[in-house]
Amino acid sequence: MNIEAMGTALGVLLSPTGAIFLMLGTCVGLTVGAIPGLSGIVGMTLLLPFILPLEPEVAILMFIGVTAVTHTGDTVPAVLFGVPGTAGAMATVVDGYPMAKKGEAARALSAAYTVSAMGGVIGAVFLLATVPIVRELVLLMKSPELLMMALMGLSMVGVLATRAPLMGLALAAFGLLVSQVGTHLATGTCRWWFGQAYLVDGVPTIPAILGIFGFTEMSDLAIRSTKISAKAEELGKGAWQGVRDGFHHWFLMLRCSAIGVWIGVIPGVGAAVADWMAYGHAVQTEKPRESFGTGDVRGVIASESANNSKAGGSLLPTLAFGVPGSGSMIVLLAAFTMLGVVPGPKLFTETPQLIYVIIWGLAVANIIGCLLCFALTKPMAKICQMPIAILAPLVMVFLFIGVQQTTNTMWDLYTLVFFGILGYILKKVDWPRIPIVLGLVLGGIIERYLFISNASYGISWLWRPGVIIIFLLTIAGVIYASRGMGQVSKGERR
Amino acid sequence: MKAKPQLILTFVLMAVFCFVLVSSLSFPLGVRIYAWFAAVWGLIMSISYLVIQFRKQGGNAEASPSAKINVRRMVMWFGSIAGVMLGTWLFGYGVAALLFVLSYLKMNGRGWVESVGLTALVALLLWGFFNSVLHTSWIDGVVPLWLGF
Repeated sequence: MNIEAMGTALGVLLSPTGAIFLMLGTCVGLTVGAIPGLSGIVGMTLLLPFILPLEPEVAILMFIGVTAVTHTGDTVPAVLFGVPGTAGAMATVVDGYPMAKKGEAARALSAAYTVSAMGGVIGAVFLLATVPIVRELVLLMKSPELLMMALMGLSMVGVLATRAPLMGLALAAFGLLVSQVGTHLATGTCRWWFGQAYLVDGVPTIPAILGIFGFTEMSDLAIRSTKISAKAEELGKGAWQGVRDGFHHWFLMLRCSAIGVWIGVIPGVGAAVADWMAYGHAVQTEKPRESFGTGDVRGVIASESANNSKAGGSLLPTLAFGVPGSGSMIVLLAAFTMLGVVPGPKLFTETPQLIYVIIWGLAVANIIGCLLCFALTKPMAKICQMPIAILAPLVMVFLFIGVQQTTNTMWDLYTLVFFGILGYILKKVDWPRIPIVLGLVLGGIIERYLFISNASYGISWLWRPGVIIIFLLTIAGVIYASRGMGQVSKGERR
Repeated sequence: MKAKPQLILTFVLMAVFCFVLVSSLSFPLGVRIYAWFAAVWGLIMSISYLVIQFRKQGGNAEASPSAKINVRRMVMWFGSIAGVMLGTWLFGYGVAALLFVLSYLKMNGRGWVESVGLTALVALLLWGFFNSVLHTSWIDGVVPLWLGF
């Protein structure tokens, strides 16, 4: 560990310029995270033209501020309206929104902010600890292992669709099929595109997710003509309880942060997978588990700690190899290029102070983001009392803007409405919506890594030690969870 | 049958899975297998669900007294959404969004001052923040294009 470089980096962070630009990046990150459909990519692209006159360290601090807290800001619409601000907040909706309905919005938000900050700091510490072994760590996971990780994520359907398990599995199959729409990467075969150029690249995830969650929840509220929460007197209460929840479930937070970091290290997997993996892990391992999905703070803690710690993990391949782990990392790489910073192993040896600026920035931005959001928790929780006749059109305006950022055509709106109506029907018949989303998000990853694994290793990839270990872990997880579910069902019958 | 909407939805899903099985026959084997795996899996689950549902006996669900009001609200809501879509296609999202907010507020019995005020706030957000600051783009309508704008 280079103490001198660490000190220099801390000096940059504490300088007025460094602090101001980190704060600016943090505010932009929180804002774009809180607007459904926008993401860290939009925030960073927005700042890109302004970085050239800045010192590289200061400019990078600003970008780290954006990327660190986007998943803190996306909690706000996820909890208050059931609309995930980004794809990484989908699992937060499952328990966060029912908590808001019960009048516990402030508790859910403050628990989310607390663990987001802790998860973000864990991500930064992980980045610090892995600097010496970064190469070995990234190369440990090859396509067969990544395929098994995705299958492990898909196995969560069994855990997350307990009310209608058979149809949960059928809907996951439907999600997998939707993910196959468009061009097959290896053969160029165009599947189920019905002559529409829009579908050649596949069904875009953002309009589909915003439809299934956001459109559905707003439709349900508008049709029932009800407020999000009827408990006016309790709104804003429980903010400190949420902070205590965060610390009380520290071990869950730690485990889910580790999942987030690990998923972040794997290029191309994304925050949505980290989110669901962590949530599924919480449902599998925590007891009692029957309250998950009905407004359990542990569900919020699991997903929020994972999506914030993921930032630290995804910076690792970006910095060490110049391999961007996500869309926002691609913009970060573009910023590096503009600033004349070349990512790669030499970055760690020749300019260590830059790496430490990133690590410090990541940790401090998460704490600042948490404090800023915490200060606004009580007023924001009161949104739940807004009449739905006012709230619904306002939220829908944001939703429509968000989805139009995908291709800027009417097809984005059609996709939103199609999945929104599908989600609404599923909600009315009390079938789970999560399996479709899991199938949709993981389907493309599974197909890609299955093809690469077969092409690279033939059938022998099945016998790789990593594959066998992850497979056994998946089986053990499913058996353990189904035993627990069986006990819950017996208890319910009694 | 108690679970009538569920059954209809199950049959729709089964139709989708059958369509996938048939339509993917023209795909190369490597592409077809993954699609078949998902479709067959979905079909097995749907059929199992149907078998369980048919073995269960239950009466017809009774319509609740508020059903009529709910249908009216549903028509109003989805009608408004259809209106936004049509308005976006015709006049562009910038205009359609404002018309949607104003008309939805008025249809729900809000006063003119409140409705116009909130619509103005949305206009400010759309043009002042999203368009000017974030540079987000939205769909242009066909009418301004026809008129040469």
